[in-house]
Amino acid sequence: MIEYFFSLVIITAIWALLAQSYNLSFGLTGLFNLGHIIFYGVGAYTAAILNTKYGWGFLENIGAAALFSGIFAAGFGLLTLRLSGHYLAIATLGAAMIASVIATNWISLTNGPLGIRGIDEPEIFGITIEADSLLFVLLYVTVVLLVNILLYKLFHSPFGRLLRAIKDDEIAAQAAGKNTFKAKTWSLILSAAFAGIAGALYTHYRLFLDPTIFALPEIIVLVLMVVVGGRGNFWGAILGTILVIFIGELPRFIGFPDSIIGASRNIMYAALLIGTMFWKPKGLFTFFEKK
Amino acid sequence: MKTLLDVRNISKRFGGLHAVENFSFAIEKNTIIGLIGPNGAGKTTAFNLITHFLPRNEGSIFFQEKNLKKKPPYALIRHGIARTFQQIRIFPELTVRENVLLSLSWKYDSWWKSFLLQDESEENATAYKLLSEVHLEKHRDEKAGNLSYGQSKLLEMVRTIATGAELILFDEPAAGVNPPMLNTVKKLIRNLKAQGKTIFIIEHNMPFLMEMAEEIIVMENGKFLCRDVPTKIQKDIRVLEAYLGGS
Repeated sequence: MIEYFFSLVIITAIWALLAQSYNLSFGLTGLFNLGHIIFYGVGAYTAAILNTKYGWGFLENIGAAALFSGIFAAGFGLLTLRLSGHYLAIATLGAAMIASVIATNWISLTNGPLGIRGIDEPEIFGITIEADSLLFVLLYVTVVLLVNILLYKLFHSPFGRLLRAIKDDEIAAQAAGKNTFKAKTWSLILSAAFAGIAGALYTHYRLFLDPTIFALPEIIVLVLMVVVGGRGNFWGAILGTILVIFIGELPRFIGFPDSIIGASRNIMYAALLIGTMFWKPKGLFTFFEKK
Repeated sequence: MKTLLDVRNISKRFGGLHAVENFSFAIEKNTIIGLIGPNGAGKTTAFNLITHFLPRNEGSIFFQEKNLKKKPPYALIRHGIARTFQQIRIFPELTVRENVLLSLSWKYDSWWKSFLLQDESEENATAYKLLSEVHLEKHRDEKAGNLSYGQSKLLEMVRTIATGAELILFDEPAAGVNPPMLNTVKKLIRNLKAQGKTIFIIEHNMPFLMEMAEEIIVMENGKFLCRDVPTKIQKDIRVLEAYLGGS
């Protein structure tokens, strides 16, 4: 039972980081990018490949995943960020599908649908940390906390203010002398780098990686977390992540048969989204806002 | 006097429509110039062309004797040309103070500088001073979206001034503004002139423009019609015909 609880905390930590990274580009900057899962996947594959083929460890892989995902996002941004609104959403969603196809078919690199096995558990100062142990929980929570502190600082910096201004009115931001394209590209690159870290964390936890990491439902869950918590609000993404994961686990707690857990989970997600849109369209964090 | 802005034969076509055609004029440094014309004359389009929010089909624009070529709008602001919009554009989700801070400095535009140094006390003091000029300092920590129409207009003007631009283009600064606020607008513009700035104004409020502008340029159907001091423009038969319809 305690292992189940630990695994829940670890998964929540990984998703909280991923959701917060998405909150930077989608929430704060207003980029309707549905391909964020690509950066998560690129980070995860970077860690998996570097570990299994070149023996890179956990900490090096975190850095490498951030770097690779960031570089990948720079190219991705140059191609897509001239688009906005629904056009950007469709183009990036298409890109996520393409990423999935590439991961499935580039067998020499990714081992295709069979996936990559034999990934090492995290090793810190020579100590191997086993999955679902207390030490593992501490390690992951610490990493996620540290990265979230960086993100918190970024959200509340003058650069964060510029991103919020772009979300409000991009033309007005240009009229205030801002190179909005550059700012949006950096927002995407940073957002991707943090998503890459989340991907590396996932890889070193699951110890197995296959192309389902790019699957459409993952994107929907991610959007759900940020929207339910509150787009652009730092605490909103964390609140949204905890809520969505808790609600996703409810069918298991209630004791639904395995065959309907997936479907009932989707119904609950839908109810959560509709409820949020109905009562707190700006997100559930507004419950805690000072009037 | 020294020429600040030199617009040479600019044109803009939207399909078959000539919104601005072969339009030329020059503005001297430290003057207040008005731009008038009937609705659809191409005034706002001219503003958009000068500030590069719209690409022109022909012509060239020189600012401080430099050819502006195809610089993006944000780069023009760094050169010293800033503008307001006919439809107010502020950042409703940012506070009033943040709206001004945004255009006050560029040193934090890159994320890593913004990350390392965050002392904005100097900028905050300047923002406070600028907001006091338009009596918005009390609202500085409110969301800009909560301001009234007139206040939003003043905020947009202050944000534009905060860029430190030499040439400021105001698109209808007096429209929809009540008389006390109109006095604030006038004071603001006179202060700018006193600081050596150059102001170019589109306006339909004639008494306002007669009082403020040193010279007025008149446009009709996208073309230059005439240019003179306000008292003469008021009586110019070509201008009257343009507004009232000639025979």
